[in-house]
Amino acid sequence: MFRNMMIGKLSIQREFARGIAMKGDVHLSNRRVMRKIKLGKARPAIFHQFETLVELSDGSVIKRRSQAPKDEIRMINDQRNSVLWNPNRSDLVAVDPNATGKVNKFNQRFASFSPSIEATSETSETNSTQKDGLIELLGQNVKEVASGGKLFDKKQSKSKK
Amino acid sequence: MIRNTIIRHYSSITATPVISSTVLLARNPVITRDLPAFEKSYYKYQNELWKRLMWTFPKWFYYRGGTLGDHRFKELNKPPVYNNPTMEFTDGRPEIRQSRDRRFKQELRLPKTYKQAEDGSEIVDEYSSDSLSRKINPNSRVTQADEKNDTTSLERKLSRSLYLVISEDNKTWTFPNFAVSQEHEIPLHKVAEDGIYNLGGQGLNYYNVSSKPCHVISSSDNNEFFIKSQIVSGQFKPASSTVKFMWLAKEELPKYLNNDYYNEIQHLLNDI
Amino acid sequence: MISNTLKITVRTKATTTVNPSTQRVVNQLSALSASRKQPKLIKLSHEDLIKHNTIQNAWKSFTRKQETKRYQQLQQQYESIHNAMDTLKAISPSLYQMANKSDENNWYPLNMRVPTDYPANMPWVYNHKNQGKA
Repeated sequence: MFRNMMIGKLSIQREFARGIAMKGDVHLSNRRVMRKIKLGKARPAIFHQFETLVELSDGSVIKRRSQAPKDEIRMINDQRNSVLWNPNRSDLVAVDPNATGKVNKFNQRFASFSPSIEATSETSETNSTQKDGLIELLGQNVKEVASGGKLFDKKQSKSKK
Repeated sequence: MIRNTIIRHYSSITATPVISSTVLLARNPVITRDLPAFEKSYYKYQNELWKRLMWTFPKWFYYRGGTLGDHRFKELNKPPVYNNPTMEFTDGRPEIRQSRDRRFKQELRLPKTYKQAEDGSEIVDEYSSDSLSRKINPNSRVTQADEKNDTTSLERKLSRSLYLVISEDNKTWTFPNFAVSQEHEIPLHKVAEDGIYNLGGQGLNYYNVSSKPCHVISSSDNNEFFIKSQIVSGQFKPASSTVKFMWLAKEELPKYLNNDYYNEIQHLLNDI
Repeated sequence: MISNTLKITVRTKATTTVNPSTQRVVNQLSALSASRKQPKLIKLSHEDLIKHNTIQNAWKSFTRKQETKRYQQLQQQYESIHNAMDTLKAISPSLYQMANKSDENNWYPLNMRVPTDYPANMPWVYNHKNQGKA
């Protein structure tokens, strides 16, 4: 009997926890009671806001207020340089968001000296030879199975319908 | 059927009036409008009230204690004078809550992403020119075209709507006007579009606000319908050198247009 | 013996162990709640209150004037559209029918820009390749 009750309780808890994240394990103390606001004493919630400059990718700047502590924000990709939003422009260059730091600048300057390209090609070679070896071990008529499996094609399934 | 015949009957009565379509080609403002002094001062006043009534910045929420960001923030923002019970304060006791004096607005300085000199200006090194974390220096709202007063430029008066006026003889200026042919029934906005492309080249991207005319000036021999459209990108480059053109704001138009004509259409033009 | 009594008398900090998710929610609530974050109310002197009211009244009358001006202009524009369509109907019914086609597919262009506070490095986009506009 007692054991049954326990199981019931557990299952109820589990159901609670499934609905909302962290629902089961948040225990706020009872001291947090909503205080009653007297008539005429209500005040609007004005969160602290910083004045922020937002620079868009083409250099135009928007002034705005923001609650997050950042007063200068620079956009890399936005409406101003996206191909999707500028269908009639031919001078757009796709910007690589990672290609602006010091490391990238260094790589650009010293790309010709770096041994990394040769090294990578060597490793890829060894990889391929290893694979070949494995296939040889398995036998002659073995076909390599493409990893990853077939992805569900939304468009195709729609067109079938 | 009956309706059709009525219409046909009606159209046969009227003695083929000339129809033409005029384009009000506008360049919309690129930047926000310039505020007049009154509005500017009012917004400043409201902004100060707003700042005074803003809650304390929840620092612990954005900067976790002991992190580098927290340290930088603390370095920039020293806590206010502590309410020392043994001290006399001439201008009232400070009411410190969460290291903010409740009586005043909270002014905070934020850590920057770039290296700063003592006076807050940016230290420029070789990487800072195209670094993502460089300081934001907004471009001037006054352009070169403004300084030269280059009326053919689209970069003049960025905060205003500009309208295209053309002239064949450099004396009488009008909005581009195109006659609708009697044989081929082409809709008014199509006539306007073809006319603009023929006159100003194909390197022009524009948006037709509507196919419906927004105004008509009727006289005995001509019905001039107005079509509103907006230039989106590209520029107006007349094919023939005899055609002169200008981009003018609303208050500059009466200098060039016929006075009655301007008064007739001035409500169609944007004040901003 | 002494050490034992000391152990009892020394007060340690109350260690209330809150689990991390509770701590997180408490932290979020503390950022949202007004308690201890609200500044003092602004208490204006009589003179300042009059000044404030004057400013507000001036602003109200200013905006009212602007609104009426805007409304009048819109009314004029509406009337002139109405007038133009009526005239077109009288002169050329076929053109009227063509003009009266629904503008449903006349989308606002994607590359139209919202005004910003400061202009771009290149204030105007001159580059345009025409793709045979419909």
